[in-house]
Amino acid sequence: MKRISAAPAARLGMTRAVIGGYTLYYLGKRRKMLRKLHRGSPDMFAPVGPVRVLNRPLPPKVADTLADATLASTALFAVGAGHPVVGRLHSALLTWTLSYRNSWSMIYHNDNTLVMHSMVLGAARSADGFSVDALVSRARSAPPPAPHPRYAWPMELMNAASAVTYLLAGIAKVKGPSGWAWAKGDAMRRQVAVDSVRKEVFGSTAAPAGYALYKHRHLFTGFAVGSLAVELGAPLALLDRRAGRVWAVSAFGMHWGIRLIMSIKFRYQMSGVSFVSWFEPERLLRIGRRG
Amino acid sequence: MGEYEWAPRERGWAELFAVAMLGALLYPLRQYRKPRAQRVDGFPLSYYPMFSSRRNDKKLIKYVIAVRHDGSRGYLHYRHLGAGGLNQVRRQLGRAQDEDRVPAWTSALAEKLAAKDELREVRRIEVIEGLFDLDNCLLGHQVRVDEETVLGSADLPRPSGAVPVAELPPGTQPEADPAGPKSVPA
Repeated sequence: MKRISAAPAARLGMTRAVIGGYTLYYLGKRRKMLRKLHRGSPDMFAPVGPVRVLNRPLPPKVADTLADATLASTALFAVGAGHPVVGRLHSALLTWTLSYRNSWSMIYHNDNTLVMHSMVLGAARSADGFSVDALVSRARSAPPPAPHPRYAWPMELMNAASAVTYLLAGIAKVKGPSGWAWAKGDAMRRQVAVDSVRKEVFGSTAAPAGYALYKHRHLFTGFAVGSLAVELGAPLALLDRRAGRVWAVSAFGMHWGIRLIMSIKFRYQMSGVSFVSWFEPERLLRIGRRG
Repeated sequence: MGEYEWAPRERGWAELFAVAMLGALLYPLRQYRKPRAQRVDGFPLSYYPMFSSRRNDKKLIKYVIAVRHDGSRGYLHYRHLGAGGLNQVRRQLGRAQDEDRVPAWTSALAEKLAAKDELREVRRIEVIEGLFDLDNCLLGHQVRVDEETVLGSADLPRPSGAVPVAELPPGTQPEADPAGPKSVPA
């Protein structure tokens, strides 16, 4: 079992900047959709997470304001401005906004990990090394922070949160009606079929690869075994840094495979941003400086 | 982590935070102790129930058909049904059926659609529950419904004098979204 050692502050700072930047793009692109959703039928309101404190939807303008406040806090979080306050505020607002978005009869689980990662970054000292706060601090002649475990544990916790999420997804598969026979791939093959038909009858387009591969039953056995290995094996990735990186690349590949066969987009995972905490993103800064 | 200097309570807070987060993430596992019908999903803490669903060879799927002035039928694109994406509107339609609200849902949708210029050819919408043979659909590279049950229908409120809807024989397969390109594979 590896010990949590020291890490440079810039590693955590870059992770915050990358995840914050992704969140800003993700929410910014959905601002119009969120406003439309806030005006949905109250009959469809089914609050989840912290939104369960509500019996009925918020007035649309209040919900819009909270979503816009989330966007503003995300921008500050991404650049690392006022982090001791903004970090916590951002994770609270993001949790609220995404929970509210998921409170209209459909839960989009691909946002779970983003919320968890943002909570960790918001609670940690993730703006000591690479941020507006750090620039202001250096301008006042403060020395740059030395590597310390306080910059490493948040990365490890983000990795653990990801691993637990995949583990739960794997458990759900073997706890379902198929049990361990899920590994034969029939349930996955059926899921591909249902998803393809649903897309067509809702006027969308099913993935051509889903149609093309459907007849090859044995391929789905391979996909199912691979998927269970990635999911149930996720905790093993926490034991060793190299194993963690191999796992992260495998999980990244799995999401692109799902995109190809089922046209389902796990955007956070497919962007690679979800896996940044398994690597050393501060190296990008060095490359940038050399360039 | 022992040889480094920490601010007062910083290390204890980090440990507490980590234990609380991982404990919270694992907490939904308690759902497996309940009967399947009583399990409740959540966000951002979930037990990912969508991976535990039973998958059969045949599948009932609810969707919405648009009937044009000439009686031809097409799948209505999910963007016309509401905000939030395909799965969101699919779930909302399912919930309307569970709560016996399909007629009201259909009428409200028809009113909204009547204002859309790109759907001016549409005279009526029908909420359908179709039974699909998944192997036939996927191996035949064409989505064909075996049985259709109309759960609700509503005419789009148009100015008087509009062309009446022609009727096609029962079982006529719908085309794709009338406002967009065909999506049924050849």
